[in-house]
Amino acid sequence: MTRLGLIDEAGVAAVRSQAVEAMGLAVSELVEQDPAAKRGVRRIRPGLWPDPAFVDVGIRGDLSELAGARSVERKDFTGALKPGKFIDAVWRVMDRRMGEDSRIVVLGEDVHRLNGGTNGATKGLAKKYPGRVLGTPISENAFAGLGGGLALDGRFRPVVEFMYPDFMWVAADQVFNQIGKARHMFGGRNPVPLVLRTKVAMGSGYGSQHLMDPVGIFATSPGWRIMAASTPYDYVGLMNAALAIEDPVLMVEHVDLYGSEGEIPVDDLDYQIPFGRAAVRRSGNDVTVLTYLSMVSHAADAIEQTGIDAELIDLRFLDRASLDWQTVGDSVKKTNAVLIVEQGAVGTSYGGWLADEIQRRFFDWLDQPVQRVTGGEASPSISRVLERAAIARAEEVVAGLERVREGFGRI
Amino acid sequence: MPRVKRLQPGAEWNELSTTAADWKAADPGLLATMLGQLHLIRAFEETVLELAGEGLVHGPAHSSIGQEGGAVGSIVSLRSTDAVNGSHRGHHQFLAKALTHVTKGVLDLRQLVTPEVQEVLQRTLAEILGLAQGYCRGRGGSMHLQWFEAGALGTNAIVGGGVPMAAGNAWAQQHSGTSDITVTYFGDGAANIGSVLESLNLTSAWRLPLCFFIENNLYAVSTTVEEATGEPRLSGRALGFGIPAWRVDGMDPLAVHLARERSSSRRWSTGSSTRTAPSRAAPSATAPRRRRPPGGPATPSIASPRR
Repeated sequence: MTRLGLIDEAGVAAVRSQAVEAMGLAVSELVEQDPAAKRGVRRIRPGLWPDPAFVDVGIRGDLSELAGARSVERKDFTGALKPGKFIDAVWRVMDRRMGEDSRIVVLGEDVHRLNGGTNGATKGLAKKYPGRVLGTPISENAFAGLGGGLALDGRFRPVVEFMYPDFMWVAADQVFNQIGKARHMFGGRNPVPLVLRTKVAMGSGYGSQHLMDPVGIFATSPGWRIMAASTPYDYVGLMNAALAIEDPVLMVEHVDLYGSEGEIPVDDLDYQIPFGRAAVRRSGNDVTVLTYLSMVSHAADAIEQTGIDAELIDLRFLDRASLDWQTVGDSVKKTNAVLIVEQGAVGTSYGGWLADEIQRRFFDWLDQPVQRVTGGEASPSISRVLERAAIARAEEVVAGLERVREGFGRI
Repeated sequence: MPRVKRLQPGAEWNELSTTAADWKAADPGLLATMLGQLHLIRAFEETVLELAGEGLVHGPAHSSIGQEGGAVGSIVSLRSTDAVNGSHRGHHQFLAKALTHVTKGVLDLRQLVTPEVQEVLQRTLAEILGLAQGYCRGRGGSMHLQWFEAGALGTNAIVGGGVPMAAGNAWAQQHSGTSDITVTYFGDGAANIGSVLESLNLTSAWRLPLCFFIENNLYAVSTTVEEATGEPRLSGRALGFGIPAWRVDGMDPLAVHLARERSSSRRWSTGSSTRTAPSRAAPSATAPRRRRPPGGPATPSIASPRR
């Protein structure tokens, strides 16, 4: 520029001195002489630090976006219902939401083919909503992160599908370091509205690298909300809530439930499940059974088999911030015993933190330690016999209930 | 003897450097704005190092001294609705984007520091010091600088970690009927990590308006680029994904700027299957206080095709 005569050395020096002077001014606004130290030693102006009470502010949204939402429990539902398979609720509610909200984009492996992906969960959507159902290359980290970028941008609402939950390890950086932390890390104001769907597949024979329950791991990442439906009615209402809020939501599904028969709403696919409300599936006085997803029906079977008067609670909202502590607490204060039931391996299990929290919140009402039912230590193997041995179903819940019964001290 | 046929990559790979004629032809206002931004960022980074030396910066203060040219050259003509994100070493890109935003890309060298520029300098410094008035309320610090209004999506402390999210931003721009683009900055150390390579593939598969900008400062912490890969010409990574690439010296902001002028346009040809194949230039710069090797480190840039 000097050679071209656009500026001379003095001009360059003047640019430099303006920049240096500006930085001097910025520094003087932020830093001052430390009164306790010798001259020239500076400190941050104490009034400029964040309030320590700000530490956990903005991990997730405040749910103000749900104001005015229509939430309807099954018992209060007056619309038409018809018998159908759980999987029909999955694609039907997504169909309804995509029809109403052009921001919604679905992405995942093969979601655009095979008549709705590998399980039919996105049936009919690719044809009906061209350009909004994106079949991705097999690169979970990139397409989960792409979904995160979409969510941060805010013009679209990504619904990301992981074909199997274990793929979260493949995408762990984007799922946990990026999506889960982005809101809080950047100051707490910019939301990350994203839904991640995946299916627990224990029982399907897919073996050690496909058969985890991801809930326990996601529960360690506070930015994520976690939902799980045990009925198609609840699935519709939970998905509507998940797509309405401004936070990342893990929606956990189960292959055993996909083919199960239930009640599917015919016309009204717009209600939500009341946010943060668990469902008491059976009232009882002897023990509180806390569970979710496919283990709700296994636990109901086990309760019938044992004859124990258990209170069965389907948690539905599983993360620390959304869990229904009121319903859990009311039940514990009545039964004085807790059994947490889940299907998967103990190492990645969900119930550990929940047992810890329950014992600290409700210790005075507990007559015995919180008991748990989980799968085994190792990931389930492909061999049918070994897979069955590795996971929990009704039989393991029966055994868990009997352990609780021993703890009653009156057999 | 079997027949052997030599195959060529589908995308072009070029190096761009400036001539005296380029400098003569350049808009003096553009050159002045780049000079002003370079000085502001250099003075800013010197201040950060000074404060870090006094123990006033908690945590790392990765300096971008010596790498200003690539950031300024590639960002100076971006719109506020264009977006950037970056790595742990990202003060210069954040500042270039924020300064371009508040000045609409025009600096007056006689009155370099407007109140808006002063505010950018102070709030960015406050963020790096972890103070409440920072852009992320002091949470983000040096490695997590975000200001959406300016199109600064956030710098990232995971090597390569911001790149997939930049692809998401580009998807949103593309499908919102805009001609906006995203530029994602990362270092030579990130050129070997899965997030970047997977994102190159998605970007190519979906023709996203995303520029991959590799700042090759020759070192990932202490490991040299030659140690870390058998192909240290990092811009070549793009060719495997069908994405055209440019190599340009990041110490020459005009070269960086021109590489982008050559390689991209804002044409938005909806409904056309013709690829305009505009690519975004991405240079790299030398590392702070490190001598340039003879001939200068060529710094690769990778750009992506857009419809």
